[in-house]
Amino acid sequence: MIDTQVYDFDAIVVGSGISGGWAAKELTEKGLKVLVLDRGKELAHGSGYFGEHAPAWKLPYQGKTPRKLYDEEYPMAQRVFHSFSEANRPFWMNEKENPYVVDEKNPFMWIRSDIVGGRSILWGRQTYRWSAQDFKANAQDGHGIPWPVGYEEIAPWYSHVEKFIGVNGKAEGLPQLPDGEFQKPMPWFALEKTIGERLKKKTPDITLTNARTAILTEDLPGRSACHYCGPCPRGCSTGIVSSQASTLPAARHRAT
Amino acid sequence: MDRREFLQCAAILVTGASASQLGFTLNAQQQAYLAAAPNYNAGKARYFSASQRAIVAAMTEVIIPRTETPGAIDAGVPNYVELMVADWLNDTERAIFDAGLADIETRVPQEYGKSFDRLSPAQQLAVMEALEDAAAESAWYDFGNVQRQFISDAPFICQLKELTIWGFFTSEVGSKQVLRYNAMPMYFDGDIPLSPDDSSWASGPMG
Repeated sequence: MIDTQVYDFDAIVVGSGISGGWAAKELTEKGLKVLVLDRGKELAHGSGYFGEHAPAWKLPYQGKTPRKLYDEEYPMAQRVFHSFSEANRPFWMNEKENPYVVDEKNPFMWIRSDIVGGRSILWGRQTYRWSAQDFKANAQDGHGIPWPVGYEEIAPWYSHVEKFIGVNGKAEGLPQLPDGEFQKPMPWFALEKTIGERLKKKTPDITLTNARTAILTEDLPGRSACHYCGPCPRGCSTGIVSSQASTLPAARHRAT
Repeated sequence: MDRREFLQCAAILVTGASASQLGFTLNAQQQAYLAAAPNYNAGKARYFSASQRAIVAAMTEVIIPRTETPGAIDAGVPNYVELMVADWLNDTERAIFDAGLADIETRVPQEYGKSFDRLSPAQQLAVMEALEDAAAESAWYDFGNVQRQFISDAPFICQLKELTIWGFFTSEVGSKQVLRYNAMPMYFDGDIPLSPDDSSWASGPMG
């Protein structure tokens, strides 16, 4: 006989990736009892990031790509994801077991992770607001369905998210690249400084600015600033935004 | 391209931008993981015969000799080359390597009366430079400064150079004692002066 127990939830979030983690956090913070469901391997924040700081000499072939293995079992992942390596391969779907179907005439290149937390662990942290133009672009070009919302409506939500995850960048006041709630930007390389100065002199209408990334340049509560080890998509133990490091703990904190 | 130019290119190929003088700190679990993982080039290689192993070691040491800093043998490069030939090269590439090594194994004793690893440094260099001259037209040299997987039809001497350079500058000894290694600088400074006597930085754990 199977023991059964009746659970009662106000909401069920399917998927614990970057969106699912946020949904769980927001709903629990509003007082809902939330169940998060996901498939894939359990991945502990910090200790689960087995390759985070692995130097080349610890990796198979000292970092040379295992060509045969990737061609046979990860053809799409190695094509789509430039940071795919032996330091994060187990976090991705094995394509021999779960092949992707691609319409070659109209290809949609997409890869799935195989871990709880999804690709929130495996991204490069580039974080940009859409501009007012972007919300109108497809309608102006006659593609698809016009967006039911515009920039002005979404802007406060961008701020809400940016304040929590921590995004560094430099405010430029450009309409095509709206500023956000920024932490201090990272300094530039000498070469970037030179290029920036020359552009300012010769083509003042072109702005050279920092990439806007969800990489902490300042501490946030419970999460320390970046220690500049380099490979974000191996998992980040300092707590740069991922479901494991930020949204799921926030949801759990509210739920208990 | 002479050896010095080649080494300069190779250094650019494997070095990254991480930089600082601070030591790095790992949490306890990560230290345990890293301590438990053996260095790749410490793995057991069983592909070459004993005499081939001695020849390959001598050849890698010609490419990166020990000076005031460690050389190829100190850095475990010969074993790395053997592991890569056995396990990483595809059949076409391995056949080129095997034939090239067999050629050195048979031709050098006929010419010099002893095997490559017993030749004088000048003789070893002459043998290697002759191989290099013969391979000079290879497309491998067109891409000497570009990161790529491997050139499948590269001649033996080019294969050996590529594996030696990669194996050296990604080894623990090459990264820490010849280049400078700092996995976790703790701060970002994009403009650190590099004096002519400073070695470059080993690649951080990128990608």
